[in-house]
Amino acid sequence: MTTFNLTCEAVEATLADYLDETLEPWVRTAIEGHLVGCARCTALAHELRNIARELAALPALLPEREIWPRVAARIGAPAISPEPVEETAPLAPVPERVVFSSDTFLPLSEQPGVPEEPLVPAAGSPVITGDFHPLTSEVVLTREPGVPTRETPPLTNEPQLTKEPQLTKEPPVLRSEAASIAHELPLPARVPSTLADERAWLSRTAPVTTTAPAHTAAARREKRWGPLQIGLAAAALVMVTATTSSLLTVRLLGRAGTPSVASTAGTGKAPSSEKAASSQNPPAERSIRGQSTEREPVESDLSTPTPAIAPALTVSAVASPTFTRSPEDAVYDKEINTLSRIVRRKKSRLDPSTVTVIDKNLRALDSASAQIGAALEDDPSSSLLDAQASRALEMKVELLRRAAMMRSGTSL
Amino acid sequence: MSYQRTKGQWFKGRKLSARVPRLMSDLTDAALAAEGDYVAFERLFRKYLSPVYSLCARLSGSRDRGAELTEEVFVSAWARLRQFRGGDGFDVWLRRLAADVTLTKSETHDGDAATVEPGGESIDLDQAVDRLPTEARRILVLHDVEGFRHEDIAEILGITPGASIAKLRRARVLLKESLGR
Repeated sequence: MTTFNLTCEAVEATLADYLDETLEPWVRTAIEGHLVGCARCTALAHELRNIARELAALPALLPEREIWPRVAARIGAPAISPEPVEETAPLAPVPERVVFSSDTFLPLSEQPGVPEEPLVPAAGSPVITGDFHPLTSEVVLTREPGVPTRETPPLTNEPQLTKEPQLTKEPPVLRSEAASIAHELPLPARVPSTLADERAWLSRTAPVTTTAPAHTAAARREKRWGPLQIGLAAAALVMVTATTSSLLTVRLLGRAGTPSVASTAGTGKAPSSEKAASSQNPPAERSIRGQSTEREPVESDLSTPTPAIAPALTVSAVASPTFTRSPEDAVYDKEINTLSRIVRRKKSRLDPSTVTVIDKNLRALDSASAQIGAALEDDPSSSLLDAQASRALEMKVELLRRAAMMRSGTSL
Repeated sequence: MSYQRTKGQWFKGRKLSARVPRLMSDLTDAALAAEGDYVAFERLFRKYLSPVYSLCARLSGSRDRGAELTEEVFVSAWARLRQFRGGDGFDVWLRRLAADVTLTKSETHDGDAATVEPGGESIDLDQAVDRLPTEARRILVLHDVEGFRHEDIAEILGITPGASIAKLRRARVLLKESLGR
């Protein structure tokens, strides 16, 4: 092996590079060899390393005078903020309808522990009722107000049920949206870097592939998600969540003492006890009738045909009386609502096809979020669902942000 | 099940990751500010005042000048927000803008390059950096204090990355002498 005897001058000249670890390995080895036998150069290296560390650790400075008033005057900001900073974010709207594919549910006859007693929602609680559409194999869930009682405050007092203008007018449709997104949104070869790229990328249509194409290094380095990626991820999220939801539905139905879902199966006729319950609370429940007389196992794969036989279900929901809001909730609320406002304002300035894709992606994400939310309420400790929940929110915020930042001018 | 808490409501009451809100605030505020929201821009100003001022003051070698440059940076940021597309994040974009504005605006002010006073009085690191010659100070602040890469510094200063490395080497030696170590 060849060794190099470096002079102190040569070492001094390259010491900074040595400390930055930017030298070739053989040069580095030679310098280390010199430092072992030279106290002067070792001390110099030690000193330079300390200086570099101190420089990197220099504290942040603050100006002695106020700068904002001058900045505000120059940019034309009003002396008084046009709108106060919201400490508590406005609450997001509640959908009037949520549609689930019938294969989200498992046949009840196979579930042990299905309660025999009628499931009666608490008086005054809002109730989700549903209709089964045999042609589309979808269950449309509709929220209906409960019957107010003296013990239960009226629903109008619950702020989370306040309706607000919707970004998407159509209800989310789990199966059809997931399928349409999957077919409309090809996996991107790269992340668009310009407005033109982004538009072309958004409007591209191609059959979805099951294996992702190799992404470029630039795309891998890109931290932001594009609308297409979000749409694909939403579709994937919907599929995964459909499976999870079905499993959790099974658990819920099998859980004694938590009567939130009742069903009658097979014959399509409700037992007498349920009829009694229905008559006592007529607005609270509505039967979802299938056409089948027997049940088949549920297919979690959305690409498989919908089973011809669907169980008859009666779904009711009882509202959780109180929610403890975390600071993160408020941040999500605020971000989503503010970004939604921006996107609504921008829609008229964006290309219609772009708006269509954004709306579809948002609906797909909302659909996924709805299922995750329902599943989470049944199994709040599920780390899988928790991760999916955060992911769905991240994707929705990212999509809204990308849409909010799209502009007709030149790209950066 | 309570399906009524769907579409934006279901996560209420859950402990969500604190990471996500931290990540999203800047870009959302940038989007709002690009649409003319002064409140959002003031939030960004408050958040990044100290980092921007630190960069401007150290790069210019003067606290007073740093305050003037900070004002210029944020005024320029307001004007250019519509060009911001996310990318590596608002902080990276703003720091790069601050460096560009500082160097552009300082060209007419840096005729009086500071001189190194080796040894003698004991001075702190900030003072020693301020006393470095202009070019050495810029390289040192951008690389060792602010963490810019040589490729970025070369682009900002209009030199080659190799020149940036060589100048940094020289700047470190000058700083060591200035500190009297």
